[in-house]
Amino acid sequence: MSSTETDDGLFKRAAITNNPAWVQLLGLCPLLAVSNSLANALALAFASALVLIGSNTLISALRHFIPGFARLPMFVLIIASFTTCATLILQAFAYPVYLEIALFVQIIVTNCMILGRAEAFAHRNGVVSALIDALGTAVGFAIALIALGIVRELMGSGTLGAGLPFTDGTALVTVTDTPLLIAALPPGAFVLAGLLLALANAGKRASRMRGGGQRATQPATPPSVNTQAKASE
Amino acid sequence: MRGLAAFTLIAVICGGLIGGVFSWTEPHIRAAEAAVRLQRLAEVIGADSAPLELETDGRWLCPALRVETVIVRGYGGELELLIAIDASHTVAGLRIVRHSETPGIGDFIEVNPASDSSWPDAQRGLDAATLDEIDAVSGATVTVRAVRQALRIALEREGCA
Repeated sequence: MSSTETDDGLFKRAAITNNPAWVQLLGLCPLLAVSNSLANALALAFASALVLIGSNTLISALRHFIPGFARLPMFVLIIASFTTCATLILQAFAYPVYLEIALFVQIIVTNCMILGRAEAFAHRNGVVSALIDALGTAVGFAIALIALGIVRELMGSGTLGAGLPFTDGTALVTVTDTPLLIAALPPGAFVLAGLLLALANAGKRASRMRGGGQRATQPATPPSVNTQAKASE
Repeated sequence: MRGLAAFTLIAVICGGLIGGVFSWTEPHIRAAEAAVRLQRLAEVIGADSAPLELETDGRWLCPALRVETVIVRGYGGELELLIAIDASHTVAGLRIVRHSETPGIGDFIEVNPASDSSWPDAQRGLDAATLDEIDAVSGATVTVRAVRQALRIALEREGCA
């Protein structure tokens, strides 16, 4: 269906250009709630990736069997199944982390980022493209989660890496004994996520200014992609 | 008709998937739950105590202590506590098995290497008469009251109140 070169662009588009967290602002509830430590962020990134990759691939493989009128309930059924599996796996192999973030793993079912990829992409594309798109989206979400997790744990708890399965629960680094508590609480999450968004926008603007001369070299990306991007803007 | 067939196909695939993952992870989940409980229990009775036996009604026994599992309502949801009561009817140990109190405000009840809270151990020695002398924590009235209620329930169950 699509060659490997466009698949490469597909990954970057899913992970960076259309990043679910700081471009599309999807999946913010778990992003803000769970990014209070690196261990929690990694666990949620893993669970989201598993659900995204599993459901995108399965939906794409079954796309010829899924009748249009009933596609949404079927997507939700598939996503819910993979979410249950992710919950069970986390429970089995990272139980202490699971205890902290259980609720937010379960509500991956209703994460519009995942249903969005199923409806907008996996449902209409081949298995390989759907897999790459899922990988890209998962990596993009993981970048946002882990970046927020690191900053919030350093500021809000004064540690880094506390509760990771392979460190016996003790922190890798302790920076301060008097942390800035607000960073660990929901208001701090909003402030820091806003700063992340500002950073991403600043980066985008900078690359657009620098890219003024580069635009001539850009037609490497297929024209259909450009019109799509323009339409969504 | 086609929709029905598709639904059946997807239900079979999803059911098989969940069933497979469940049978694979179930022993690991049981082991992880038991490990957390045992670790809290070792903390609550002190590491050098005699070996434990699990009674069929869910109470844990060791020679000098009785350990009660109590679930009460905290600020953010249920609190499950393990409470050890010694022969002189005082609280000998206190640990949280699970909770959903506000991070940084109500989570002092939890003892973990990251937060290093000494609050639960400071409440040792309370008994039915001195239960109101539990250490209050500003901003966490509801949490402390929930723990006090749990201690009262445990003492009542052991016939000390």
